[in-house]
Amino acid sequence: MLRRGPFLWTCIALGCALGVVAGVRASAVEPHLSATTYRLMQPESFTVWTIQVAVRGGRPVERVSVEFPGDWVAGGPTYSGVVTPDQGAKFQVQVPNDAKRPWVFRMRQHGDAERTYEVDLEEAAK
Amino acid sequence: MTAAALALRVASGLFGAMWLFAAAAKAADVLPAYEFTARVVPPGAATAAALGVAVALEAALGLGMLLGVLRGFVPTVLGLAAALAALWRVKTLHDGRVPCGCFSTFAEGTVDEAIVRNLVLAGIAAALALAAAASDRRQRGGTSPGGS
Repeated sequence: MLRRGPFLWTCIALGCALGVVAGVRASAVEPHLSATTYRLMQPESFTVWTIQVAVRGGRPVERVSVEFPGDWVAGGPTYSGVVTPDQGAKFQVQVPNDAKRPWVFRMRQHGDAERTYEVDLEEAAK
Repeated sequence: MTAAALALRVASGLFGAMWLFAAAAKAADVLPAYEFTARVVPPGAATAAALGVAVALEAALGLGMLLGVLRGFVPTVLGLAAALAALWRVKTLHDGRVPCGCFSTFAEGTVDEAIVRNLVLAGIAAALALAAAASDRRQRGGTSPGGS
């Protein structure tokens, strides 16, 4: 099944090299957030958006919070507490159609690796 | 070289290319595979080590089959069986709809899809392993003294 020779060592060496590359890159992975937004409805004066926050990087995040600009109306978080890769967080917001663009909000990840993200509602739309 | 031997050689090359592509895709964009592995072993150093070993084995297996160092399809069947065990564990503990990360972002798919794909591939590889064994037996019979 196994043919000995120089190619055998080539396979082992290249396999190990690729494994080390993958292992080193994997050890640098940290939990982080990604947001997808959905435009629910657009009455004349405002747009309702749902923000679905997912945790990437295999580990849960202690808490996610969002900060909306003052002229937006937050629908409040529909999920709070530990956010896991299986269970994301969902928020809703009403944005006045005459609000100044870009429609950017701030998202915070709390816990061991604290991070802040700025997300454009329209760019993250699905 | 007979037509059957040539077909087995081509199939071996294709499986080898698949393993090598899977390893290279994971090394190039490690996040999807990391997230899948973190559902099998605890996240952190254990996940990184498990992923490194898996990529090394996939790459060595792929190169071995492409360069003709590894003959036959038994290693492929064993590799697919190990992958199926991991996929099944994630399906039962979490959800079959989570991404499998098998080919990273280059060919995305869920755990459910990966289970079906791996079962089909394992079936093909097992059939090829039997065909290769039969071919070997025929060759040995043909070259042995007094054989016809």
